Amino acid sequence: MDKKTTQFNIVHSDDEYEVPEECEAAEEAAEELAETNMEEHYSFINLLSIAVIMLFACIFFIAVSGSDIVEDNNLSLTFKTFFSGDYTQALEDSYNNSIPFPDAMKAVEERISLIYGIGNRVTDPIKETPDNTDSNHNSFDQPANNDSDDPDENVITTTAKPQDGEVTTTKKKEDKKNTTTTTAIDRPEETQSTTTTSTASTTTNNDKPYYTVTETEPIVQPGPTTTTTTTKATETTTQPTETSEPTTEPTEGPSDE
Amino acid sequence: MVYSDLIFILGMFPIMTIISLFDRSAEYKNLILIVCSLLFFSWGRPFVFCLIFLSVILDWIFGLIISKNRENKALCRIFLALDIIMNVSLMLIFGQNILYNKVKKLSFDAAILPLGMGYYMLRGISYVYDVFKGNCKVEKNIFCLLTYMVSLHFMLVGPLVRYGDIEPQIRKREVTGAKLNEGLTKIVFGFGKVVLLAGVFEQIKLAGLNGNEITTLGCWLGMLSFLAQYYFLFTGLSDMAKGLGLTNGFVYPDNYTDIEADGLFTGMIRSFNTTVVDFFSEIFGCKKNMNKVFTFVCYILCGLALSIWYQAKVNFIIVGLCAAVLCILEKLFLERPLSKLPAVVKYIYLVLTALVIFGGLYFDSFYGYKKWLFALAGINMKYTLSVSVKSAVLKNITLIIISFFIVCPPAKRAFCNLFKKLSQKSQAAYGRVMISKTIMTVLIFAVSVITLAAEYAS
Repeated sequence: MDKKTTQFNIVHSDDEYEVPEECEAAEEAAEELAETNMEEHYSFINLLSIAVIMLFACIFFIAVSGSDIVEDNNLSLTFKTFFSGDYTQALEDSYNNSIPFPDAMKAVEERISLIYGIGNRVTDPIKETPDNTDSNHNSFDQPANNDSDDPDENVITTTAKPQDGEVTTTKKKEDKKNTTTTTAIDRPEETQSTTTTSTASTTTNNDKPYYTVTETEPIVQPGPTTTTTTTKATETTTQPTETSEPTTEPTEGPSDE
Repeated sequence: MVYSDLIFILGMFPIMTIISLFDRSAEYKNLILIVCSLLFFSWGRPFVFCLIFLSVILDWIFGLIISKNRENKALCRIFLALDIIMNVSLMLIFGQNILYNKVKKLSFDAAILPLGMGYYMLRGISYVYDVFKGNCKVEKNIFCLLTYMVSLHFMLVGPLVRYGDIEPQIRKREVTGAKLNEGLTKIVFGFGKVVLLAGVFEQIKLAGLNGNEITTLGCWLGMLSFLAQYYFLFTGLSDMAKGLGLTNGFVYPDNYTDIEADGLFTGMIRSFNTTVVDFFSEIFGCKKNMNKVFTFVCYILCGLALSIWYQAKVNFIIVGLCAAVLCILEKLFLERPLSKLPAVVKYIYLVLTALVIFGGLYFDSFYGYKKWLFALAGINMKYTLSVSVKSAVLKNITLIIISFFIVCPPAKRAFCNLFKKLSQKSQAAYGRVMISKTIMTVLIFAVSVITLAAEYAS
């Protein structure tokens, strides 16, 4: 009798486990829980990855200095330097000037730009063309006298005619925005002078000496030559030199003769 | 300082976030936030400290006076007007440097966060306006108001969150793993938009709108790139702002939405700088249903105020008025016929109107604008496309395609749906999609940092 009852009970309990309605809801809940867990799992991986790379970059840029020269600004944090803005400015300049491995950064950036499109090269001359990087220049601006064909007087590039003496002295503004190579000879005489030095030509722009740039294109010559560059007698003695940076040293005043 | 500066993204932000995680209390987080925000806002120009404290104290006092004298409507109006005058003056003088543009330290180039000052000013006005209208309770604790006013994530590109909405979060908030994850992801994507995409469109803009090489296609592409550049700059900084807020426990709405064709030109205006446009619309009553004359007046005033808020220049004002006129025309006459058009035609309409109206922002004179318009139509043009424009487009074609998917909502939706379907196939597929997303995020961050560092190095 007992045996039969037990058997019956077992069968009955098996039937109970087959009720499907309650299990569906439970399965859905379990699935949702699993999905939530999975989302959280991948969110955590995402968070960890970004946080680690950000912290690594943060420490790398602070700890590794790319500049060999340590600038000593003698700028300490005082009430005065902070409230004048000098301290924060110096801090920012120092940070921006000490990018770690600057050459490597540029090289990597050039390599990355290869995937941006078609025609990129590792050393890209077009990128360096001032025409493309000029953010201020806008020739749609209305010219002062409504004549757009006239050259802008501020874009003065005085080119001495290369004569037999073969000295070419070109003056132009240092500012990148004046990208057009305009040749203007009608500059007032008193604003420029070319004076004689023993080793290199020095060009002075009295109006804006800060912007004066002297570029000397050396041409192989047997020896020093003398070339008259203006109608008035102005002597330039030039030896083949390389001018890498603007030189603005007015050695003498404008020549009268 | 802006969010996309290296010194901020790899200096101030990580340090600020780590320090603010040391304690769970909102008061501690507010203190860290105020100190860092003041440093951020006054970077290089610390006299702004005084300006900020002075204006916050005045906003707070005006709010208290209005709340205590609610029955005296005239007095309340006087103090509301005083607050508006004070804040607008601050914006015009210090934000746009109308008076001091000849002093080197205060010259326009060194303007004190011109856009940031605009948002700062609007927050001050909106607080006193909401107290006046009864939309929010007056704040008795000045440090809560200071947190609202100077928080660096509201500062640069908004959003203009109303004090009533954010006040509970200022008093109590929590930084969770989910918020940190979402915040950091948003910061990385925003950073990528600013550094990579905005930079690409700047190159094309300069090549296309180069007055020495005016070509028909150059004018089209140049101006489209001009608009795209500022779109990505703004949306990128907005994403970064929202991410910064999330890492500090704040949750607030986006300051931009996708540009949908159904919204027409009015919708496009609302999709950019949404919270500010909504605030001005509310103040000038543009949302109310009124007769045609009042609608016209309200929209014109709103356009005028919004354009001056952006920049107090003649071309900005003209563009603002033109945009307002088109919004009025759409509201009164064009909405029904235009809504029946297919989506593609609506997008063409949006592109054309945006080009013609917002193109005016690029030019300082009508001469240049007219010259560009003629070139756009191909009148007296010898050449169609210059080498520099072609080169700039081809060299960045991958990034341009990515930008298209970001800007165009149907393309964006299709892309997102594809990833969703892929991830729903199985658990393993979901994992692959999520890991791909993580790898992409990390790569975007690394490439953006290298690009910016290379720019600084050169």
